[in-house]
Amino acid sequence: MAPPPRVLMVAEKPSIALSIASALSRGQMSTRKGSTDVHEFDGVFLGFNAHYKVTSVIGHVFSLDFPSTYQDWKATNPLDLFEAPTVKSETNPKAHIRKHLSQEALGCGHLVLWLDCDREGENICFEVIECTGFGRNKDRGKFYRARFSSISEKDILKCMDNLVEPNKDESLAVDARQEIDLKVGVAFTRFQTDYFQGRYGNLDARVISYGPCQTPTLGFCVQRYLQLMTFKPEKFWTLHPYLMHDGYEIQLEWERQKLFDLDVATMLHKLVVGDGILEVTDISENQESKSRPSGLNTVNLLKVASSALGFGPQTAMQLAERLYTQGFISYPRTESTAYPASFDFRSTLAAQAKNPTWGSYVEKLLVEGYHKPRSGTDAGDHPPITPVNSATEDALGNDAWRLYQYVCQHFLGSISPDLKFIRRKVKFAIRGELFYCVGHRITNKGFTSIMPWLAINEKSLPQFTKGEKLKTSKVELHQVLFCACKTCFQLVCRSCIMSACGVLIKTYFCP
Amino acid sequence: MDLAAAVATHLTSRSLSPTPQWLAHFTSSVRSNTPLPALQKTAEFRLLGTDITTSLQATPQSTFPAGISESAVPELRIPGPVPVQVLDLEDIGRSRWSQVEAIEMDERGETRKGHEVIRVVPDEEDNSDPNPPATNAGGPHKLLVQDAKGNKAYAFELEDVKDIDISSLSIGAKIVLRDFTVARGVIMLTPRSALVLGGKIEAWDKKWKDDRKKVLKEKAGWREENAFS
Repeated sequence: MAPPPRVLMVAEKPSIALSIASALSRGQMSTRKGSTDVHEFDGVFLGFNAHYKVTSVIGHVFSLDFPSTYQDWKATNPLDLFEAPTVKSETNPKAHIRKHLSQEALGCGHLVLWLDCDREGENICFEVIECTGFGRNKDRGKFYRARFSSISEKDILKCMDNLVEPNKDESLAVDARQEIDLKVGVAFTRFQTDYFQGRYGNLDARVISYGPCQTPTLGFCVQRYLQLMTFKPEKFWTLHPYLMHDGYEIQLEWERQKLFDLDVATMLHKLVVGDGILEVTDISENQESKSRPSGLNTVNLLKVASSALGFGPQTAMQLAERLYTQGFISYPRTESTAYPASFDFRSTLAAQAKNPTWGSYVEKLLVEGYHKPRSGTDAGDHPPITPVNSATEDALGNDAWRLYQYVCQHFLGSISPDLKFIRRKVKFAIRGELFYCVGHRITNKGFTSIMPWLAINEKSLPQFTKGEKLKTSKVELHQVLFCACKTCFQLVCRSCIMSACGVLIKTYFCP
Repeated sequence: MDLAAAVATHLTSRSLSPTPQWLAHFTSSVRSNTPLPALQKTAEFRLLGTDITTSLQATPQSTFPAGISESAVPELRIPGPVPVQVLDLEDIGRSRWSQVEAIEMDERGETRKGHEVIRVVPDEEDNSDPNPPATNAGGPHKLLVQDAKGNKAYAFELEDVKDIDISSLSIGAKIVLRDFTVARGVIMLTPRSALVLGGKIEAWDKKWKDDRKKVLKEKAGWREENAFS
């Protein structure tokens, strides 16, 4: 009997190769060391018995550079680089990845590519195909592409039933990108480094690098920095009449919000004080809602990681990357906020049902039915970032746990009901100047039960009747100033109450 | 009715009573066979481009009373009609710095993509910017106006007056105030009391536009020498 066909599977990193092999062999694989680990086991492939070998690369196998004749800065005109030839050579010669792949490919009739599902991964697919010699001619075997968005056992198994072809166009796009980055990057780096020599005393001009992505980004950072550095706090004034009800003092808000001119603000203050009688002009009660969030994409994850968790983007992506390769969250590089039609909400929920903090909330969603998520945008690359396997703080460490927690809460929030509340607005007029006060009564907490920082405060208002006339207890003119802390760029507002003759009575901070 | 009188009657109906000198200068500069309605429109247009302290008659009814800017006087009602010209215009609903940034964005070409105007939609959950760029027309506005005698006073847009807007109102534009209130030295402008006739004084308007960014920066407290302190 002929030996079973051999299938070579190549992942992007050793940890992913391990996860794939464990999932498909139910942990029954044998591992041997090589340039990268190789896991072997017997299984079924496309309906027939097969012998599997799962290994990995370590990122790109090849990198692009100029031939040695162009490496001398002094001897090369940067302009010539645009027409110059380029060569691909092994990124990591000491790792001998090319040799490793061609050796493991011997005797294998099938190649399955498990590189990460982004364009770079697609490009690496063709590097692997090149190294293994597959597809060069008909008898050199077939290659397949696995498409997956998370390293979960479920996803990996599902993948095997849905193998596709790798996308040559995407790979070529990466080749083009690499050549452009190389040529533009090197040419301009050499040109501007030369330009800046000796120009500024305190500039280290050994290498002033240029990149088509990093340099415009630097431009944005500098622009924002200048905005913050040159921010000029300006005083503005707000007018607040107060009225008494049942022993409580109610502060009214100004329809104009704020004015940046003291003379006009003072004039209006005196106008209102001189009259002193508020008339209720309108009472309205409206059902309002605050929408549940749509699916979590990379940009929003980074924003929250920065503002709420204190992680810079690089740290956040490192943590997210690790959570992904360990199977705790789905692929963290995505622009989509819309869940695909095929998304399995039930099993994602079920994985969170035993969590000590939000387990009971999850049970409720499973029993009562979870909410349809908001539509969002589907960029077609990967689904929004969601939790995959359940985790504990001990298993992840504090930082990763905090990021994971946010991913879970966001996911749960996105399939929870909207926050529903009744907004009561009472409008007042005094000498033509308009004021109002607003009360909120929550009717359904919705997603804010799981994302409490997004909740709104409840505030009750006394009953008023339209046309009612009330005396003001006092009318205050507040002087407000936003100050920027130049160290942490936090804005603090200093608010002072001005008396009728312009004297500042009380100062208070509200960060 | 002779030409000069016909033109003068029309202008007076618009509350712009020209001086005899201006009227004489105008009638001598036009062709007498031009149809009257066209002449009247031309006269109005030209008058709207002049300095009213030299081109309009100043009577007690058509100018500010003495002490109009007294902040101690709680209220003054003036029947008018009083034609005034705009000397300065400020948006006091937005910080000056945000107005400077809006001008700089426009200078950098960031508000237009070819002929298309780019509108920045504020992020629904992002409340971090205390200096938000202006998304609407802005306002309310504070103006410095001058009557035909040369007296100046401040005016405040108490209610929104459609044509009072940084982008459409020029320096030297004429406004006719009628049955208006002055509260503590500030003229209150409302759609009922202020009729914007338009026009401009080219040289003043150009200077105002050229200096605007510098003036706003100074008002915001910006000093060139401590640019990066």
